[in-house]
Amino acid sequence: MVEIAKGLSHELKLIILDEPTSSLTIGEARHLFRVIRRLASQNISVVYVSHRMAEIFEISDRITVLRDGCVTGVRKTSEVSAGELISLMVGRELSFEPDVRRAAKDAKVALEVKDLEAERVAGANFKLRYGEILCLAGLLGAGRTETCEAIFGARPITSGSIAVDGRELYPKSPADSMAAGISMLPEDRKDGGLFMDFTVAENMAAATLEAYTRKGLLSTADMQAMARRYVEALRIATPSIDREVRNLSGGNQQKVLLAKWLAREPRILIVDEPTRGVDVGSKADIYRILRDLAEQGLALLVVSSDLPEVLALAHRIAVMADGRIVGELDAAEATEIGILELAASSAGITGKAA
Amino acid sequence: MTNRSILSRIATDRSLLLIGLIAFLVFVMTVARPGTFPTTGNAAVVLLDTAQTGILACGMMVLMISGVFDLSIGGILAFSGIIAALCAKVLGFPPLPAFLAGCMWGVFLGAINGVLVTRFKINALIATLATLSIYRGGLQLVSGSGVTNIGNGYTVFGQTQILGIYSPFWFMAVVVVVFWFLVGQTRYFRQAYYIGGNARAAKLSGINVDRTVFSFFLIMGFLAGMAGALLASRLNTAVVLAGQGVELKVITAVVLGGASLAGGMGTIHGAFLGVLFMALLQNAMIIAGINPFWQLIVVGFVLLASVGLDQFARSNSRA
Repeated sequence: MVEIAKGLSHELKLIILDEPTSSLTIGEARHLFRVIRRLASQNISVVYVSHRMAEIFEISDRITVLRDGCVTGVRKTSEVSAGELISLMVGRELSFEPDVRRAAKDAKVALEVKDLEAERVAGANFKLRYGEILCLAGLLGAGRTETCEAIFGARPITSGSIAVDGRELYPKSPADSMAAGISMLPEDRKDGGLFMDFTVAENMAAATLEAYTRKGLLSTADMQAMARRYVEALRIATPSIDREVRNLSGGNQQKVLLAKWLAREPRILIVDEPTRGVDVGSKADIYRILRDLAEQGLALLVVSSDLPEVLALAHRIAVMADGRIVGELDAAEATEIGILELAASSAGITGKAA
Repeated sequence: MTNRSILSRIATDRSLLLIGLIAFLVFVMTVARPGTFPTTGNAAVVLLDTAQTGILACGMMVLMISGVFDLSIGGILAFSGIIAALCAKVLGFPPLPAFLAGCMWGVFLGAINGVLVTRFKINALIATLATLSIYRGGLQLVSGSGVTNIGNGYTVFGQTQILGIYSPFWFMAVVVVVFWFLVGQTRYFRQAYYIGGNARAAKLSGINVDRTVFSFFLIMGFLAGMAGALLASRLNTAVVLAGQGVELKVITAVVLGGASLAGGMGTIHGAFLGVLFMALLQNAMIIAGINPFWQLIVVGFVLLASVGLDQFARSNSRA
């Protein structure tokens, strides 16, 4: 907000806003939009860069679509549909429709969490089966990320139990959970996921160094072979595996992070915000990959604040509030409103402001 | 120019730059002082001068790759020299046990640094600045005036000549080769890059960050202890003021060799080239008869220039 105010304090004819809402709350974004409209009415030109469809349709008069550094189309906002925009952006038709649900109710339980307590987790209970995508939904601060971290050994557990394949697991560090076959993609890929100044290959190898080690010595050739395999399998757009990840787009960075954790060949995959700051093309790719993984029998625990994403991915939805699971919904009958009501009302009962 | 791995990027750019600088310095001095500079005697002096900083630079490079450093190495060096000398002279240890006692004392002091930084989470700058003072005070409590005339055959480590160069150089050569191999080839030391690159991501990748960094402080302590025991052997005397200001020389050489204060970068051969360059520069200034005070000023400027180069490279590659 201060950045934007700084920009406005000069005499101006043109203002360029690059993803201005990515760090704003909804209220602040509303306010920003009012400011933008006022500027536009004063004959000031605004170039607004965004990957968020809803914003684009709300604020713009005209839309220019870029892909790989080329303009692929210019449209009047009033004359274009979201579907047309997406196909301009990715160069092909995409579907975000939910796939065919498989109940998977008879599959083996991969992960069972009982009365799990940790800082900001107050007795979480759920079961996750092989071949299933379970989404943890809820408001910000509901304890979803914290629950994942506790399962992954990145947050001290104060009480309760975790069982993988029926065997008790008390992870004291991520290494313990990794040894039990769990991988976790953290919420913020720049903070806890990627080594931004390192190459694609070095990032992908970070969690699997021992796999390329013989008698203590690292084999760079093995690392590179693995990286090439994943660049191809996940369709990562990078000129080479020696490119530093900070030079890649958000979507491709997220795929590198996914590759890093898939390289461990986990049986349980935890993904915290799978597509935050990711373009639509990569988003569709990531959805497809996650679905394929579930189909291959992996157990997936996905945290997302993006409700359409929850509805598109989940087989089952567990709603969290105040550090516990307050309700479970079958994806087939869940709606955005239903999830929100559950999340908000439960948070209200305990008297905490959301 | 971002399309290369960290290792190859540093290896090529920074090392080539240093090799160029070293060649330039040698060329200029050979032309300017043909009688004194390009002699085998002077070469032996320069190489011997790299011994202490070279040994220390290996440990410092590993620490700086992991994103930390150790300012107390001068104190560890002097204290360990005193311990080794006391073991040889007062307790009558044979040379090898006395030497190893010095090294082990260094490991112990390094462990204190490691505990402070990894266990009590005290910033490495503050922790090791404090222990520098503690170690210097401690060693003077143990031996106020140092240990002269150690005797008992202890000088064997420092005063043996091989191929016309005193043994400390050969100790350093072995240390550099061993660390060059370890840091370049082994998984354990590769973890240092990940820790320095992003400590939280390293932890979430299953790396035991605290234990690994702690072990690197032990290694630094061992190397500083070895440097101290060697110096005492070379001089047949353990000096209270040994290694004063050595941390500045070592950090300058290591940063010159490609380490970044932010961590995640640097190589052992880069550190060695940095050490060699600094030794040559000092030698050149002595031969040219430059006032020692100016020499200190030049060292300061070299440190500033190399850090500036690091900043420039970073902002450039990010743009």
